[in-house]
Amino acid sequence: MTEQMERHTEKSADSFGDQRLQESSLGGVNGKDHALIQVHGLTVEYERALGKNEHIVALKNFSLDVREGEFVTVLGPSGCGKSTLLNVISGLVFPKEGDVRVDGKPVTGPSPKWAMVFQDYGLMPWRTVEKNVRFGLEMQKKLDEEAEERVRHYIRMVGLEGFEDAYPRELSGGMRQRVGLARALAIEPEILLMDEPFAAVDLITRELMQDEISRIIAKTGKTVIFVTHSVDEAIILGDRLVVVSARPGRAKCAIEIDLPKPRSEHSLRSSPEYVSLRDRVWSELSAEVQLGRGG
Amino acid sequence: MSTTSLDTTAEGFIGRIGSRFKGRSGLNFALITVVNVAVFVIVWELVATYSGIPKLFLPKISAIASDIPQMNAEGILLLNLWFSVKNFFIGLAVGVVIGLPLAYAIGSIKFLDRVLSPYLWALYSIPRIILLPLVLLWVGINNNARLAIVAISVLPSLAVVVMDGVKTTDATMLRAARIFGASRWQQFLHVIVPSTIPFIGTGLRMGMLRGLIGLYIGELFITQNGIGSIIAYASVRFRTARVFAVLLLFVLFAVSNLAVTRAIETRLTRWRAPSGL
Repeated sequence: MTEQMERHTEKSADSFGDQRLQESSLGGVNGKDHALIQVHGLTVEYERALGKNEHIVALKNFSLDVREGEFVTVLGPSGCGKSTLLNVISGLVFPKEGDVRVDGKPVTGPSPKWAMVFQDYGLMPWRTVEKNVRFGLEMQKKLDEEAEERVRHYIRMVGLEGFEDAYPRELSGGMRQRVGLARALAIEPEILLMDEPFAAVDLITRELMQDEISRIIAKTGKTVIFVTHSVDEAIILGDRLVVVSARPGRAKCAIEIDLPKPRSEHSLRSSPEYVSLRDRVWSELSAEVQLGRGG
Repeated sequence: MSTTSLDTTAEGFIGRIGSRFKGRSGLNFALITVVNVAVFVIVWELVATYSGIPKLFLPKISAIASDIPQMNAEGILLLNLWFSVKNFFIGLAVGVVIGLPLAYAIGSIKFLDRVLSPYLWALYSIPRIILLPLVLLWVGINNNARLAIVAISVLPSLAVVVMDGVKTTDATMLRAARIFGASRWQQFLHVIVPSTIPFIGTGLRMGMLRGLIGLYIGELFITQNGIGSIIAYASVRFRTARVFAVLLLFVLFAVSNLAVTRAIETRLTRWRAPSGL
């Protein structure tokens, strides 16, 4: 399908939002679910230093479509612009070229339709667990009884009951990330953007958290873009895995992961499909890692 | 037991931090302070009594202490103290009211930083004693000149610390606030202000100390009233004990100011990890 045609269908869909939603839930265009997130031809540049006219091209002509309810893992060497991608999708950074559409509407800034979980948590150290989880609702001025119930609900869901009044410094890395996750879930977004959320926790906690995130996403049916630099994590969590090239980042290849769910790293390690998938992803990735090093 | 157990739950962890904190800063710390001060006082008294140094140069500490009720009896203590304290707090308030918004503006707007912070640093580094003649020229030889000196002593010390604090606000926290839909005002209120409270504490303490020096300079040059004027009179009459007595009050006032701001800061930042002590 050409770009123009795509644009055209989106435009006509804009004015009939509700109908389009029905259409997509029935299995929309091409027999596939219509993409909830459409990332199209993104080029993003950063100034190297203030006032200097040198630019770093973080992303170059990056495209990616994510279907509703899909869990996409984005894998790439460090510095390939994975975090930049999330910044653009969430509306914090504007691209030089290209655009991002959610539900067919261009992203113009942050929205309650999506939330993010951060590598270094981004919790407010002066807020207790409960107040951190309430943060998004508070910013969006939703502080009724229903909001309070949601806060309690998601604290329970991530297993932090009993720690409502603890401060982040009193929690382990894994527990802090649970707070970050509950904070994101509490605003009940359609899309969850996860920026290497388990990169800072130890390996055992990481495996436990992976199981848990799979369980929670399966239960809540969110659409997820999960950025990671771990091959195993990308395979275990994703419905689809996108390998990003070395900087400037582009989507190098996408691999559908058909392994049955629920998956766990432990049980998958010995399965032949997993091993061959892992080899394939590794070879795609290692070429980029070497390129990234300038090799 | 609590320090050796392998309890890795958050509750256990809190318990451990709690007990460690209480153990180190409780009774022992108070005892050390009392002994420390007592030794200082006794050594001073002994040296002043037996070393043969004339009391013009080194009066006994008991003489210094007894001069305080003496000043009160002469009717010069409370009135002058009140003038000084009043001037100090008004000057401090003026410095804070101007300095704090200025610091937040400079810290969060790059353009203002470029344009204004050199002047702020200049004001910070110029000795007040040099500015005094200018202030007297602008404001006139009156009480407002003293307020102005205190204010321009407080303002830059507070502002340079707080503006650096604003600049070091955690980037992920700001990113999180923006993604969760915080407006600029909410970002300011819910991220920048709480994370700069420790910087306000430090800046306020630095500002207070410099403000006190400013107060003293003002009172030495414009000697109508205030505790600086007592020192000026006492020193030309060689009443060294009185000079020391006023100095002692001065130090006590400074220290209690620091203690009060420290206590308020600790109360406001209970979420922080207990510091080294």
